[in-house]
This record gives sequence, structure tokens and C-alpha cells, in this order.
Amino acid sequence: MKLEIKNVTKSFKTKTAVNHFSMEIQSGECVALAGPNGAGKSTLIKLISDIMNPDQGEVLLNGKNISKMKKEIGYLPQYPNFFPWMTANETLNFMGRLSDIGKNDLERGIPWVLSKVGLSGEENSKVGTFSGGMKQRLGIAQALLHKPSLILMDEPVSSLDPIGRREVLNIINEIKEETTILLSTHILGDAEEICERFVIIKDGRKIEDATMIDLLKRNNKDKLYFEITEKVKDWVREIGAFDYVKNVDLTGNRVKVEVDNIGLNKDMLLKNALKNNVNLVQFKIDSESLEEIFLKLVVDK
Amino acid sequence: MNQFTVLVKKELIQLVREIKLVWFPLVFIFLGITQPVVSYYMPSILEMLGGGQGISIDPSMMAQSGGEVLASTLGSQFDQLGVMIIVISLMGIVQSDKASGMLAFILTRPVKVGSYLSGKVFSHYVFIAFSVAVGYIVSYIYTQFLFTGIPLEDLSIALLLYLLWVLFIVSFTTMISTIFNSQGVIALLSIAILLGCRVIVGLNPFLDTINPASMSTYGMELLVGGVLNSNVFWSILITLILSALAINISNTWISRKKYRID
Amino acid sequence: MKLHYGLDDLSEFDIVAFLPIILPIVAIGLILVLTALIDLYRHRERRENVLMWALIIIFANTIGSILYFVIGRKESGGR
Ligand SMILES: Nc1ncnc2c1ncn2[C@@H]1O[C@H](COP(=O)(O)OP(=O)(O)OP(=O)(O)O)[C@@H](O)[C@H]1O
Ligand SMILES: [Mg+2]
Repeated sequence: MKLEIKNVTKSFKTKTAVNHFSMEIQSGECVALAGPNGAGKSTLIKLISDIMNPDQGEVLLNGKNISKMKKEIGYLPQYPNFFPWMTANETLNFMGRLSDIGKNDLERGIPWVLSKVGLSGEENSKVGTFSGGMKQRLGIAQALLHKPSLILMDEPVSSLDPIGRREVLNIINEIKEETTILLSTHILGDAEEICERFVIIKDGRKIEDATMIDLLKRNNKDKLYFEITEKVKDWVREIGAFDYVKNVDLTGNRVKVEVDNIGLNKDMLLKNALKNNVNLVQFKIDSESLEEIFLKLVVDK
Repeated sequence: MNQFTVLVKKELIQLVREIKLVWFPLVFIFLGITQPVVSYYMPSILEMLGGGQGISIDPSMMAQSGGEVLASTLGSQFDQLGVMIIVISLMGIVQSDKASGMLAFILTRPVKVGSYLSGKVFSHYVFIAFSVAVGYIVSYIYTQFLFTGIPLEDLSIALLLYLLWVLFIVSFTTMISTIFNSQGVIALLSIAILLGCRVIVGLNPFLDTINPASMSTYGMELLVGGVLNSNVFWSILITLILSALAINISNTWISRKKYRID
Repeated sequence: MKLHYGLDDLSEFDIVAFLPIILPIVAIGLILVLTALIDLYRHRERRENVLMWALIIIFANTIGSILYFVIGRKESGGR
């Protein structure tokens, strides 16, 4: 499996939602498409799932236009919506038959997929009575049912509560062993757990495409983090004058210190603090979280 | 073809779940009964009301034949309230799938737009045609009981002609429902245009030939006078073509993804 | 067949001949009203203006239930 997005552009009346966007996804990858609200994530996913046609460019799966490869794609919309009068079983049966799955395969496939997403026991409940989390899971079940080689998920966990989120993340973690996944999110913390590759989109453009490790490495500066009980402004001013200290940032009781070489300077600074009787509550190496890196990328670029 | 069957089955199950299977034929039966019964009792009611004020009623007006009564079932019941009910019950046929995102969702599966649309039109048309036919037959039973009988041949040809007009109503409403996004607009536009078509019948012979609503008046003429209009062949052809055209436009519209996706 | 009646005849309608004509109408109206009310009750939690529709169905019976089926069966809430 190979997905190629070639220079795709999609404009709405007043806005270019996806702007000359290109990327490739190889078999077995798990890619997180991250971006702030309105960045164009859903639009891009709709272009890939052939719900919309691009104004320019093309999307190819295994070298063929995506509209001829629908059987290979499983799609989970941002707000999955089904016919409320159908039961879970009927919904999967309907979607499965539309995907050209035979009756016998469906008889085996539906219980399998329902248990996979944790909906066993709800097969005969009306979808109209489902909670958001259950609909999300039914959506995932529907996307898995025909065993596609690429699964597209638009914000699979954003609308869920922490428990539902945990459960759905576990489901995705499991299915990622078998298929290629592209999921969009605006919460990097979620994607961090499941995906190794991050594509960051802003105003329809790709502004970053890297592995998580790369991103962390590239963005981590040598910083120390103190928390002190009382403001010892004098001491803070004092360390600011050291030549190995590049920057000091004091907010409330928290001090962030950027130094030349974290290995060498960390002990020197700690000794200095003890000597000056600074009342330390916390002292640690400050590593930037993916969330902060994301914020910086999105706000700066 | 397989997908077509799946989609037709879905529509039929939906008809059952939404109990449309019950109320829709009943409404047409009700409309069908109304005309003969009202025609039968109207003279006495009028006389009762008018007698005191000295309004005289032309006896010939009241001596209606069965054909005339059944023709007015088509012309005054089915073509007015009937058409409105058909249109309003169909206004969401495609629109509701667009609004809920189900259309886009269904089309992420390997489904042809043509299968989707033909599944919709086929299932709803068959069901509506069935309901109209039942209403018509019940109306005939009453008519024959209260007035006079009608030759079976005229009776069936008139019904078939009328069902062609219904075919156009269904296809046309489907097209409007595909193009527009608000149910109110869809209902108003479809009703205005379809009733408009019905009203202009008789103004101009050429217009009549290309007007699908003429199918209804041809049927009525047959019931009343026993003669079939000589243009009927062309009108049938044009009604079929226009219906196909409406479905085709819907097909193109969806295939080009012109419908709004939110 | 006698096609029109005078004022006097109106009160002497043959009830036996009259019933088979009117009874089906009453029955159909009743079925419509009942199905409408049952449907409204079964979906009371997901419909808007349940009380208003109940009144319309009861007071405008046949027409009211037709109205309900045609425009009143909209689901409220939920996306
Ligand atoms: N059908 C549409 N018509 C007009 N503009 C649209 C349409 N769909 C999206 N847009 C615009 O395109 C931009 C990108 O929208 P998109 O839904 O792709 O963003 P997103 O990244 O998915 O955001 P979110 O995180 O809120 O889901 C937005 O500014 C939006 O207003
Ligand atoms: Mg989105």
C-alpha cells in the first residue's frame, strides 16, 4: 500500500482550506495529522476519502486514483452519523453490503468487529440511542469491517470524555498493528501515544513532517526548572549574571533557566542554590512537551 | 446491481420503521373515498342549505356518471392534496442524507451514485404508485356503488396514465431535493412547479403535449368520455424522457459533488 | 338509483344503506388518529412539541394526523 497526495489544493468561496499539500504514506505507518481548528484537516481527509474533489492535484492509492480504490479505504468522519432507526447490527450490515462484502463474511465479520470496538451486547440497540462514544466506536467498527488497507480517522478521540478517549486510543493502538492509519487531531498528547510520524498543517499548508523523536530532539534546549517557595529575587538576579546562564525566566515561584551545557552546569547551579539557602521545592531538567513544540510551530510559522 | 438491492431494501425497511407503510396508503384511500361520498351527498346538503334561500340547483349538474366522479378524484383530490402530500413526504429524500452526512458517508463506499439514486426513486415510486393505485381502486369501488360503473379497460389505462404523472412527480421532487438544501424551499418549489404544470394544462395544445401533468387530464378525459387524446403517445414519451432527465441531473449533481458538505 | 334528496328525505336517510358508506371513512380516520397518537407516544422523548401535536391530532383528527405524519415526524436534537 502506498498513498500519494500530490500537490492538492481545495478552495471554498472565501478560503483556501488545503493549499498545495503533498505527502506520501507507506504501508504500515501511523501518521498523525495535527493542526489547529480550521487548519484544513477535515478537508484534507475528505479529499483523501473521495468525498470532495480537489481543485488541483490528485490523490493516488497504489498509483491509482482514489475514487477507484474505495474498497481499500476505511473512513471515520469527525462526527459519525448513522441512520438512527437502524440497530448497530443493521448499520454494519448495510455499510458492509455496500462495501461488497458477502453475506457469509458479514455474519462472521460483524460480531468480530463489534467485540473489537467493545460494542458486543449492543448489536440490537438502535443507533439513535447511542452516546457519542458509542457512535464513535460504531464508526470505527464500520471503518474496519471491510478490512481496508488504509484507515482515515478524522479526530477519532477529540469529542470523547477521558474514559472513552482511553478506550478508543487502545482500540486504535490495536488496529494499527494490522493497517496503515492516518488520523487527524488537535490534541498532540493523544497522537503521541499511537503515532510515530507527525504532519503538522496550518492554514492548509504542511509546515512540518517529522517523527516524534526528531521533533523532540530538534526542539529541546538545555533548560533547568526550579520551583522555590519564596521569591529570592536577588539570587535569581545573581545567577542571571553567570556566563554559562543564557536566559532566566521567572514567573511566580517558577524559574526557568537556560544554560550552555546541561550536564556540566546543572550541578554548579544546584550547589550555588544550596550555598545561598534558596528554599527549593522542585529542581529538574525541563524538557519541552510535544504540545509546547506544537504550539510554537503553529503560532510562530 | 447488488448495491442497488441493498439500498432498495434499506428504503423499504425505513418505510416500515417510519410507519409510512401504514399511513401513506390510508391517506390516499381517504382522499379516494372523499370525492364519491361528497359528490353523492353534496346535492342534498346544498339543497338543505339552499332550499330556504331559494337557490335552485341544476339537476343535470348533480346527475354525475361514475367516470366523472372518479375523474374528479384524480383532478381535485389526488392532483391537489395528493400531490402536496407526495411532495412533502419526499422533500427529504436526498436532502436529509445530505444534511446528516449519510450521503457523503455512503459514497465513501464503492457505491455508484446511479445505484444510490435509482434505489431511492425506484423504492419510493413503487410504494407511492401502490398507494395511489389503492386509493384509486377504493375510490372506484365507492363510485361504482354510489354512481355508475366504468369499463375496466378505461379504468386501468387511466390509472396507468396517472401513475406516469406520479413518476414525474417523484423524479422531479428527487431532483429538487438533490439541488436544494432547505426542506421548506424544496417543498415550496416542487409544489409550486408541479401544481403550476397541472394548472396550465389546457391552455395550449403544444404545451399540453410536453407537459407531464397532461397525463392526469388524459386519464380524466378517458374516464369521462371514453376517448383517449391523440397526443397521448408523445406525451408518454416526453414524460418518460423528462423523468429520466430529472434523475440524470441529480446524478450529475451528486457525482460532481456540488452538494454542500459540512 | 336515486340521486338527490329533498330536505325531508335528509332525515329519513336509510341508516342501513348509509352505514357501509360512512363506516370505512370513520374507521380509516380512527386508524390514522390512533397510529399518529401511538407513534407520537413512542417517540415522545425525541420529538418537538409533543403536546401541540397531540392536540392537533385529537382536535383536527384525520387532517391533524395526516399533518402530523407529513410534517410532524421530524426528529429533534441529535446531529
Ligand atoms: N463546506 C465548506 N464551505 C466553506 N468553507 C469550508 C467548508 N468546509 C470547511 N471550510 C473552511 O475550510 C477551513 C478548514 O476547515 P476544516 O474543517 O478542514 O478544518 P479542521 O482542521 O478540520 O478544523 P477542526 O479542528 O475544527 O475540525 C475552515 O476555515 C472552514 O471554515
Ligand atoms: Mg475537522
